[in-house]
Amino acid sequence: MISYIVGFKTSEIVDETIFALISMFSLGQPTAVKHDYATYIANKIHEQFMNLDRQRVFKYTAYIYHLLLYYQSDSFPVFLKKLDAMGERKSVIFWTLVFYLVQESPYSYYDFIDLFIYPATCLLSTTPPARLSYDMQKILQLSKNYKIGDWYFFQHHTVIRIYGCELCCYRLPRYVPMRLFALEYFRQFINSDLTYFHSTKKKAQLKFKDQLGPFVMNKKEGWQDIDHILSEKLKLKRSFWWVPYDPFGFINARKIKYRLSAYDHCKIPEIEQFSNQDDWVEGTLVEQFIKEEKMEQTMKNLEKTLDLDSFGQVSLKLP
Amino acid sequence: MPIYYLPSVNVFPDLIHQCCANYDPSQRAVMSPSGNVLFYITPQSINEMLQFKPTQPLVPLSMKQLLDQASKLSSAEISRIAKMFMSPECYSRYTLPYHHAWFDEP
Repeated sequence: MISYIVGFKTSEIVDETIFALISMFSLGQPTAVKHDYATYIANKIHEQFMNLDRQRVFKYTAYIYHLLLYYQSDSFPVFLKKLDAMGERKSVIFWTLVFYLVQESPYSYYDFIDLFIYPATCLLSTTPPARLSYDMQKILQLSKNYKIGDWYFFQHHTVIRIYGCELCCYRLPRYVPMRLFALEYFRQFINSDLTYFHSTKKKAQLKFKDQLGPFVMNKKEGWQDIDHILSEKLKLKRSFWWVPYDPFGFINARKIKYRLSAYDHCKIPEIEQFSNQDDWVEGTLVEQFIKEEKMEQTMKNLEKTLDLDSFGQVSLKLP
Repeated sequence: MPIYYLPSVNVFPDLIHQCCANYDPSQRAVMSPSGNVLFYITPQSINEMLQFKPTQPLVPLSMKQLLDQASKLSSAEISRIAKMFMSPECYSRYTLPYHHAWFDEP
């Protein structure tokens, strides 16, 4: 709120620097004293890193992103506009929009994950992380006899399908972070359970993890909140609707056990044959885009190469 | 000051925790697993990425100094500063349900 009153739009938690601004900065007038904010910020980041377990909230995420991008720019497969018209190096905030929260950005949340988070994670890890981690694969398929869903690697996105889910799956990024996996898992699993078992007062179909990654699911209606986050906030696109989905008959067997009507899987062999692969292989699953989607993609790719100076993407609203 | 207010970004705490795990406090740097410096977290590295080149000596910033200065401001000066920075749409049309003095604790 203080940040808003002062007129700056930032996701960082407001701290002392805001008060510094209020106290010291006179708009349009040069201040008599110029403070060393860089030292202040560097020291604060150091303090936060030394006490992150205790503090739990990190206030300088934007600084870490920009430092990574600036000093490891070759590692990110993003178009970067480093120089201005005079050939001078620009501030890093004008290089790309890939990680900014900007209206009408050509970069989607998929791009943020696949073009920034994934390469950054590779820089910080001994081995590149898998598209779907071993833990996630085990959650979906603990053993031959205990499976709750499948995963599909498309060329540019990933889909998980929980057996019995009646909803459209979301297209997750190529690289699936646990926080996205957890949201999609909760959403689909709860829907499957509510649709076929909970409403008929039968026991839940399979064991449900109520805590996954950073999330705790404590009420069944939570799947609607998740749906809102994935569609409205992160603006993920949906995959095609594939119902009934139960390739190994787990839901069907359970329903029959409870003397409910049978559940017949809708077969799509040309896609099913590529379920649960270790990685995407050429000649397997590729996204099918309609004409409008292709046009939109072309436009966004063009926008990404435009000079960012003209975007005014730095949302600083001075009073 | 505004140069140090970076635009809003998508928050992804996992990456911050990874950077923290790879942070070498003695070098003030985030390292790769193989021991290379990925980036320093120093005033110089921050100023360089923001292309800020100070043209005059900078004064260390401390909360104590700011609090000392703030305590010396008159109420008229505080009002002037508040008006300067407060967006018109944020002005209250109603009498606030609390008195400002309640927050002026020592």
